[in-house]
Amino acid sequence: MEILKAEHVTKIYGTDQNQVKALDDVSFTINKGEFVAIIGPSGSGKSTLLHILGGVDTPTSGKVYMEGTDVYAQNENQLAIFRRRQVGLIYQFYNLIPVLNVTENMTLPVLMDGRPINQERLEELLHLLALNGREGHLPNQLSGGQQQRVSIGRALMNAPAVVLADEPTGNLDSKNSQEIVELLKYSNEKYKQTLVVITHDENIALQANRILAIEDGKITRDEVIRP
Amino acid sequence: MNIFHKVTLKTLKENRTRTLVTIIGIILSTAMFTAVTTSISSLRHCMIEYAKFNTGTWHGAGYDLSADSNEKLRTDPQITASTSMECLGFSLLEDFANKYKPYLCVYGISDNFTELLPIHLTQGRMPQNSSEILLSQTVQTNACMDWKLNDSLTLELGTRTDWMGNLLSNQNAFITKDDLDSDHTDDSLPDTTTALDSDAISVGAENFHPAETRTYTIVGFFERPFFEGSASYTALTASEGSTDHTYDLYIQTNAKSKTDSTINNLFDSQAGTWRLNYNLLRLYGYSGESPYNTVLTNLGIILGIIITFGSISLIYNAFSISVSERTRQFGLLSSIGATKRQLTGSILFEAFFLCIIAIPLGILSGLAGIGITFLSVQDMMASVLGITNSSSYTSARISMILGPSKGTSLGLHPSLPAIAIAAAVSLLTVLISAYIPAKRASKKSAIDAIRQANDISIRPRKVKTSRLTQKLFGFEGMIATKNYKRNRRKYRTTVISLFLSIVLFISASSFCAYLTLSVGSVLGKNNYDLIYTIEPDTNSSAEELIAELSKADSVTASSYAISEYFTTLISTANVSPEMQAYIQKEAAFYGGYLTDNDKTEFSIHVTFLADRDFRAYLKQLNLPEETFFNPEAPAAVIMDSIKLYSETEKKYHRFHALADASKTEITLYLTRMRENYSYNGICTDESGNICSRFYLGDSDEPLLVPIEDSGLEIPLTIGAAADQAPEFFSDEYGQLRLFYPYSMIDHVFSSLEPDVEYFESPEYPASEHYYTELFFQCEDHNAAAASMTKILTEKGLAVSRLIDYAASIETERAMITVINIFSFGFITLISLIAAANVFNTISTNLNLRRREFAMLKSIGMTPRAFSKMMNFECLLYGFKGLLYGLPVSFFITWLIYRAIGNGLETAFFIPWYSIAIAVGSVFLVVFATMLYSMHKIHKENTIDALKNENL
Repeated sequence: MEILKAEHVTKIYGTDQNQVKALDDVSFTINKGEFVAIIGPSGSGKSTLLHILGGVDTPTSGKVYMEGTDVYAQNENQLAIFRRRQVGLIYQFYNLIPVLNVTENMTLPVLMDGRPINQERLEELLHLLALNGREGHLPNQLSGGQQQRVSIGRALMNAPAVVLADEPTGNLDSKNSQEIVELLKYSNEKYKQTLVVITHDENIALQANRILAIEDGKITRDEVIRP
Repeated sequence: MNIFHKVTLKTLKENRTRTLVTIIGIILSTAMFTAVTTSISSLRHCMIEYAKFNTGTWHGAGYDLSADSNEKLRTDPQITASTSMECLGFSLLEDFANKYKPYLCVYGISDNFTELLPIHLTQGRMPQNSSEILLSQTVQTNACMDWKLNDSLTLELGTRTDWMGNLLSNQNAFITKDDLDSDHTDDSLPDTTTALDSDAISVGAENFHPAETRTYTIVGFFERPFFEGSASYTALTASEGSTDHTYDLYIQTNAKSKTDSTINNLFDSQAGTWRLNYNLLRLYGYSGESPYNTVLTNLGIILGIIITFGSISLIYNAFSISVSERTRQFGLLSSIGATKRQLTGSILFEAFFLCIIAIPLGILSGLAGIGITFLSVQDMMASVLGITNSSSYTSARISMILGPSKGTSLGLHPSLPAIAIAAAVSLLTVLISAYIPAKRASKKSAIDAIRQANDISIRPRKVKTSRLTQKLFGFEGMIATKNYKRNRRKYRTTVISLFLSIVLFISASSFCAYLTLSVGSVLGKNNYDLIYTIEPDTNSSAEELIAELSKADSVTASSYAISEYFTTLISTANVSPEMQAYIQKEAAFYGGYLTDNDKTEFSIHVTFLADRDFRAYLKQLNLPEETFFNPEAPAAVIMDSIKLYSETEKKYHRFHALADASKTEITLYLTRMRENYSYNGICTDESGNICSRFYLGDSDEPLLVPIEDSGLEIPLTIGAAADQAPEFFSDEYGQLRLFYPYSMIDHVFSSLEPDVEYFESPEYPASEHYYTELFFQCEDHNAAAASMTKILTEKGLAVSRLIDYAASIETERAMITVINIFSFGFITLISLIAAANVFNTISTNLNLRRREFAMLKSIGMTPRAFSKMMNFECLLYGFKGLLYGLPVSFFITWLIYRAIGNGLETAFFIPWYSIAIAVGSVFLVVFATMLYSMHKIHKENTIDALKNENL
């Protein structure tokens, strides 16, 4: 079942001579429960693509559909709520709110929605992410791997349609990296969570179901490695 | 509390210093608003109390109403309170001392009288029945009646009529015979055929008709009431409620701003004279005139604008300096799905939270501040508010009036609306200051906000620094300059806050400096404290009286003189070029100067000074006595250094009016009375002859008579010229001044024709027709005035001629002190705001650059090089701030000079002292803040800062 669809997405930065085409007429679809790795050299447009899929950046032209909804046809308010409920974003640099503790950071999207926290799911995630006993800690009291686990927790908390991760292991050592990848894979398998991960790491890419390669803003390879 | 509130509160806690400084900023600005509005409302309250004290709480009054009308009006629903005065009748005083005030007017009053009208007892108590009477003090002081407390007083009460037999009320002035003579032409001469009742007594041009005899006991005396008639003294007893008498009705209405027309309608129909209590209604804003409080309001608005500027810049900067930090946080929240509304809500929450803490504190400290100020300047304020120029109000009396016992002292009277405005303005300022950066942040797409895309979009050319900078200031200087250029917005905020601080401080200082100066220049320069004027027909001579009065307490020196202004003509050749230029330039404004002839008109001030003082003056000038005490040809000392105001240049000039004063011939000129004509100065006729101009009655056609025919010319002899006036007479007159010995007055005016009257005052012999003024210097003018009043009363001389000049000066001196105190408080608060502003921006700016500093340290920048770089940045800030701030301050100072300094003798000046303080403080605050922040940053571990992604 198709959950995410990009149609002729183009993103241009700058004007006139300074123009950079970050994405050039990109189209593809992703099915529910897929684990997609996007690879490509620096400056190829991977991150831009991810941000556009996640509704945090706007395409110059083209359309993105999430569960049949035209993402950029929504107004700003709807877009914010879309991000809150349908998308889980994981960044290379964690991007946690420094003044909030682990639990608060993880439950932020739910709290924003004004819904009650699903305590069961929170406990489960804390356990899964090995953050038990760290609930009250502030981000600066945690290691890099722990911080990234918190941001994964935040992305999964709302059971979004898609989790988008932008080089989630880019800032971590190989042991921590593998742990993070295992977590993502686990969520993909257990919750049938759709995953899109940008990575430089060939090992990580090879653990995905499907690999998309981007170069100069164009998809150069689209290969399903395990159906 | 939702998650946004939590994030906001935690962020505020995290940035404790910034939060604290912001709160202090809000406290300061609210305090200043409160102080300004409260002092205005308190002053107004005090003025209202003072007005009530002087004229009472009534709004309108109708006079001479019939008993019927009185009753009808009293029950009118528009009237909320009223009291009436029943006019029981007049009583003719025996041998009345004041020839314009021959009567005692007896009023019957009701119990609630003192609720609407002020009665200030000086002795005794209020009358309780119709056999007791309360008298105006003026019957003793002015009418010189020998009536004392508890005396029994038998009065013949009756009515007044004019020569036509018309009834006169207490609103009518006394008609003297002179009034009649001058006012009436043949056809309306007094109708002598009017039948007079047999026992009518003729007084002046009026008739008094005694009707009944009454006996009263004097139970007290009170200060002259404002309602005392000009023909009578006031006496109060209990009302009888007789329908035969007329009534004066004092009322209050509930018409508020329509009071004017309501009272008009009420009384107009009853056909009496009526008036409004303007003193009070003006202050309430009910008078129907343009707002009386404009001056106060305008002053408040100007101060309000300055304060608003200061506080907006402080609070706005506090929020905007951290805008990139916020932008990032907003981006983050937005990327995980926060809506715009939620983000705006969190900003508003932050603003409200800060305000809830700061505004009440601000209001309290503002009230406390102004309360303390009032407490310390209370006495001075009191004398400033004794706004009356009438010199009979001595400062002693004012302090008695405004003293605490009377309940009208200057106290704190905060007005609720004023405080609400203060709070609202502060709240609005905070909201706007917080909202603008938030708006800016939310405009970016979430990912740009997180990446802070704008903040890193530097183009190489933008941060290019000249080789010279590197050569002069080294590597550190170059980095500092690049830092400056890289993030202009942050630096701009800092420079703007410095700029505003400088401008605020300097303009506030110059505002106060010019204000003090303008008030100071109004201060007279007379060096006497008390003046007493002897009327010409008094029996005692000046010499005798001054000897008596000098015995009064604390008198240290005394003198006496006769002074008068005269028109003179001086040969134009003798007039100095400066004076001629002045006359030409100002001709449009002072048409009076006669120039198109070989003579120039001058008004001169002639003083006949007590002989012993004149001798001392001569001695001082090294002049021989004979010339000046020569009865054949008495000579004068001339002072021709004069100060004149130029209307075209809007300032004063001082110069010698004459080319060679001691050799000038001056001709004094007196105009003979011309029956039925009024005199209108001199002018030239068509052929250029100097003429006197007369008008017949109301006609517009002047009658020109050559001056040789119309009057008397008296050539004056000048003995010597001086640049210095005698002691006691250093007053500025802007006129030529002549000084003669007192004993020479009849010799100077020896050519006066007997039995001829002149339009100018002298009559033959001059010494018997002039008022001699006695001047006194004393240590304690209040004591001296009281003591002299006693002496004068004993001698049966009019006390009203004694003027306490020092008391009025004291008021002005107190005014300057009060202005200084207010200025000082104002400048202090503005400086605090400015300092907090600079501290806040610089420390936040540095705080946000911690990561960058850590990076520089990590690549091996030594602490020395580091401080060098920071010092260089400080200099950059300071100079940029001054570069923009000083010229603008000069410009504003000049504007203030134009507005306030108008017409001052002093030229435009820049308050260098304040500028020195401003420049010094700028660098002091900048360096101190830098040191403080760097100290805090140094304590931090380099790697922690580097790793800290939240910077």
